Amino acid sequence: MSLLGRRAAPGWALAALAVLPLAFLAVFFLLPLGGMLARGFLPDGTLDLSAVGEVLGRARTGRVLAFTVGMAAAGTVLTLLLGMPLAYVLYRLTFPGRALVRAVVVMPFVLPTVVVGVMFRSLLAPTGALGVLGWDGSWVAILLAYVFFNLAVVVRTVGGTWEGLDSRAEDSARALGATPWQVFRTVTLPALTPAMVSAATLVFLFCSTAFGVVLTLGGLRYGTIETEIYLLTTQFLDLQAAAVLSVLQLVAVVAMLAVAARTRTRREQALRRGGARSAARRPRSHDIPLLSLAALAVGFVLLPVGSLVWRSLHDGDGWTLRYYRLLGDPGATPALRVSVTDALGNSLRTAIDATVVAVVLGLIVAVLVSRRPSTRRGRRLVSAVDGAFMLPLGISAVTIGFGFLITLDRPPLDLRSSAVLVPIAQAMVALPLVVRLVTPVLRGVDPRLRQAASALGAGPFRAAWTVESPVLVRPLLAATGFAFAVSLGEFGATSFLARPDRPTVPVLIFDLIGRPGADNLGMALAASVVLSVVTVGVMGVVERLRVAGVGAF
Amino acid sequence: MLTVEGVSVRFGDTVAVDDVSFELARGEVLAVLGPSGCGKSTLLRAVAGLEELASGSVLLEGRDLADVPTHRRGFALMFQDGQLFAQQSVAENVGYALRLRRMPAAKVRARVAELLELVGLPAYGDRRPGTLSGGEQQRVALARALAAEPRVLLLDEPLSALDRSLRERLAGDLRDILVRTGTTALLVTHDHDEAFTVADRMGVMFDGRLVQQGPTLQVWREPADERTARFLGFHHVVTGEPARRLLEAGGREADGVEGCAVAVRRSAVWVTDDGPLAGTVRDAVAVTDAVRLELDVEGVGPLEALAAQSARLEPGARVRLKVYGTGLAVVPR
Amino acid sequence: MHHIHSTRLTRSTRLALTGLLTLGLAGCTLTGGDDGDDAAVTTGPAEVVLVTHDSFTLPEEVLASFTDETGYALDVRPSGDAGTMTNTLVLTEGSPVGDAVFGIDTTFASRALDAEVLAPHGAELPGGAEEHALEGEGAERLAPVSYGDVCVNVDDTWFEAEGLAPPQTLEDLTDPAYEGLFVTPGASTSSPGLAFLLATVGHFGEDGWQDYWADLVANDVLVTSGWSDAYGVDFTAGGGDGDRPVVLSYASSPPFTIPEGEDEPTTSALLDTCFRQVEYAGVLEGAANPEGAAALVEFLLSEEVQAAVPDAMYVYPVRSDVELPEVWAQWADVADEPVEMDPADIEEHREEWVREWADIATG
Repeated sequence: MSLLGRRAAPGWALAALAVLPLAFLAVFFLLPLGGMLARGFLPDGTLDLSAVGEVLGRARTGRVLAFTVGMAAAGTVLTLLLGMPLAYVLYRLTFPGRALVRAVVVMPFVLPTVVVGVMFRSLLAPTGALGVLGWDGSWVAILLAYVFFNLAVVVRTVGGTWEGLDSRAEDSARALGATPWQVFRTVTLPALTPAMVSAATLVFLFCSTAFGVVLTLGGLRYGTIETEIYLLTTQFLDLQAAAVLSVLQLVAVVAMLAVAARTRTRREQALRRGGARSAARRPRSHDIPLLSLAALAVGFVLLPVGSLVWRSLHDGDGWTLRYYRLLGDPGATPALRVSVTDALGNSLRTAIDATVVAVVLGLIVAVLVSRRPSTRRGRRLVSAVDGAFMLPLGISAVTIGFGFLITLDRPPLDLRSSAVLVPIAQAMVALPLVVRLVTPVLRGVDPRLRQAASALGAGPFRAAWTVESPVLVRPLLAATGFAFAVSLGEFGATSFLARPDRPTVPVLIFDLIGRPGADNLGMALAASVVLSVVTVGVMGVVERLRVAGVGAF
Repeated sequence: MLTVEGVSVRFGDTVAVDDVSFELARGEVLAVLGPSGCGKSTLLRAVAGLEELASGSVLLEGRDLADVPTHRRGFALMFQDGQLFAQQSVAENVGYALRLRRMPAAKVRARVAELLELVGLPAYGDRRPGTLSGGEQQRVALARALAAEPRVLLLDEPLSALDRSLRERLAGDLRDILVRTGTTALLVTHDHDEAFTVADRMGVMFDGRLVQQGPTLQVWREPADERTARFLGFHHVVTGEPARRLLEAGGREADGVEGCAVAVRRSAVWVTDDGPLAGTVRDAVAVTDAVRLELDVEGVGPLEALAAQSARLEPGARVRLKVYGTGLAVVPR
Repeated sequence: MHHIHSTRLTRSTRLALTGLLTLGLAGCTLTGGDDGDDAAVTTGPAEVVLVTHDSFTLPEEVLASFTDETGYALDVRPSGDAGTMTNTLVLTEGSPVGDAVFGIDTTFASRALDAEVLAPHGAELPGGAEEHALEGEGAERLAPVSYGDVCVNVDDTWFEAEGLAPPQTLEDLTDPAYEGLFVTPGASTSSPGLAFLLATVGHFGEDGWQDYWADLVANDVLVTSGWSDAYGVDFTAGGGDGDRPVVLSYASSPPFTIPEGEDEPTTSALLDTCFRQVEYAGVLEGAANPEGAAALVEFLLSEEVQAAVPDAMYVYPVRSDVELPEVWAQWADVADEPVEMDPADIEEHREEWVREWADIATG
């Protein structure tokens, strides 16, 4: 009789649960996207598809599409390759300072792209520390930036699953004569595949819609679909061509999501979450190769971050705290409309709102898509819903940002100049992360547990609560921390909104870096450090909660 | 011959395995019996090379395995919940070790079929582990372990997760299969019946230390101390005069056991028409093949005993009792 | 059942859930507070909403005096760079996101006028503003507020150390003596970059600029995506450790390179290479508060704002009767004969020029 159980799932219960997130998606994603597409394809109220052939026929379009997909794929593979050893070291081994390293790895995720661009360029430019590599302005730099930004996604998503794997299956294989590599390939990897596909999906979407870093690091030589849409929309106001590219983007993203969903469902299994056996252990001598790879990955993160910190503490004459002092003084430069503490306050308030929205909706979506209806149609529906909430990551922020402005302009949805739009735009980026982090865990819960609780007299919601809330604590905390970090650093989508003038830290950094003078640049770097430190602090607190949460299993 | 010499394993400050030594001859099955948390699983993992030794050594045919990683030791490991690879079919699971050795596919198929036959699951090859019952999963796990033709098979509570009747049947099958295949096996368990059925020799482990070892029957009959006796299913331990009376009633030598205690199995005391002891029934419970009694025995004190199922015994009834000497053990105090 | 499940919740679980709940409550109160603010927008004309670009700033006290003088509260809404902001206005034509706008510049003025998103502002231009006003009927819809010159800057210290005379003109930049020394943001991604392209179009003519750019490329010009990148990373005197002593920036940039304790900048702007960008303000067509918007445009032309503009936004006031800050007067001259271009011309050719430019400059 369980309403949420896997057999008897009456439509109304699932539907009721689905209303809130689906309405959110419809209003804040489909409506704006539809609005922009309508402007492109129905310029005067009549269908005009003349641009389709023209845009698709351009040699440039093919080149841009190939570059976008190729780079995103390469970025995803490279991020996985570097992220997996790091996930292993940070989630299967214990060592002093592990929590700190875990938090440090997340830092890149919140750094504003413009700052990362400047840091990467100062390392790679001919006069930079890595200038000899000659990567300045090449696609290699873009690829490295993709990895830099997305490493955290892989480490978090895969690490969370890895941490909970029962190590005895691996022990069995080892005892049967499998070498460590064979154990990994035949036992560990299949168990991690769903998490890896989840991570890869996110990374691919992030890479294929990155545009700030492509522009900064590619030195204009390389165009992606996203940068093309940006140019067409913000510079040329060529909405027809932009709409064609948006549809192209949509098709590519849907195809990618479909492939990912197939791979994931084929591989997903009721995960056996280990008890004490799976507890991480101290590193041993045979971990050295993986430890070195992980150290390389951490070094890769720390190099730009480290040079950021170093430069924020240096002026022409040597060490100084001057830029940090100036940050506290709104009179230091007109670019500093508010002090950094006020901006931090704005950032935190916005991020909290965005996190609440993302976590609440993400949890509902995760609960929804973790059910396995008995009918084929039901399963298709669940899978479609799952994919739909990933879409916002794959669609141009420019399109959605302008879409907000032209569709949310009249009651009852007169929201475009409201303060809530900024956290909502951020929540839309964070929501898929929450879903991807929480869903695998919910899918791993043995449905018999829920049935057992129902048999004991628990109502459907009580049964779900009793059985699922304990296992949810850790991934939910991780997701909360992540959503928070995303909101703190998010700048892309919000920069296209007409927003009330309460500058957040990324906005402040953007303002500062856009002005001449060593002080302004130094303050921008110092503010970036402050933003990172706050993020690492928040993530660190979440880590502590996670560690305490082990008892919940 | 597997030799374990003075092996200790530490986790931080706690000593999980403390100076354990034993030998396991080829083709022999040794059961290490102990309560949960006594360190027996850690001992097994140490032998497998999955835990680092704080001291001591593990030798196979006289060769120290310290530098031999788990996967080169030629062992196999079987857990209480099988740990089948969920993404592989039953046949793929069983053939896992063979494929690792690059055995030709046709040979693998033949060998897998043979092994599934051996464990009583022919025609299960294409099933997924998730669709099997607990007992079937354990049989598959056993077949998978045997496929490796391990020099030593390590069994971690292989039957504990199963229900009682299945456990009893499977214990018999396991013994049979191990003997037939001539497999050398080290079994750790907390279930003395399982150990008794499957093993040739038995060791008893408490708090990381191996307190007694010897042929199964010998350990079973002659526990080294009171704690071991209780763990092996002796329900009572009596001392002094009552102890002497029980020994005499059981036809055992009672001299020279002063200062020792006598451990009594429930099955050592039976209600008969004309036994040497007398007692009063306090409680009677029917079990599957007997009636279990709690008695006050004259000159001995409270004791448990068994009666044939036909006996109708109410609390307060007076009965005569016979004592079987094999169910008594003299243990030092 | 109830206590069974509550004992199953461990302390940490409860802690975590409490935390979430607290977050939730915090979120509610914060957004709730915002809703209160927003309600005011719709209830009456007591507020003027100014749509502007992200670089808009004015001192608190200046903004406050607008409210003191007119009784209108001021709500500033930054909406991206000048191009993004203009497009926002075009896209939301008929249902504007605010009442007034500031920051539409020379390069986008025509687009805003063509889309008819502006209403007549009715403000009287103060002395000096006339010379920056648009020609034709655009003048009554867009009022010039400030202007700036986008010019090539050079690092004088570097050139002195190298014993090389710095370049003076656009032509000099293609001289092999200056090979590999010039960095500029791109025209397709940066508004000063576009201004520089327009400077070359204006200077070399509609058919001549392509050859000039080909020569620049041959002379190893570096094109970055944004100004901050060019100035902050590649320029030798921009705070980074760049290796290019010639950069595209503003006529107002040199004063920022006066070293601490000294009184002379280490860089200078080449006044023969400048493109003039005027920034305009206007009243949005269909504004909820057109009177307030008109008052705001007036206010932007007032002496108080005009005097504050240089320090706040690094641009020159259009009013001739306000005094420039001292360092500006000394070190930040404007060009005598900058390249100026008709906004209609720019609007008509922008896409064509930028695409052509991209083909030449970025391969």
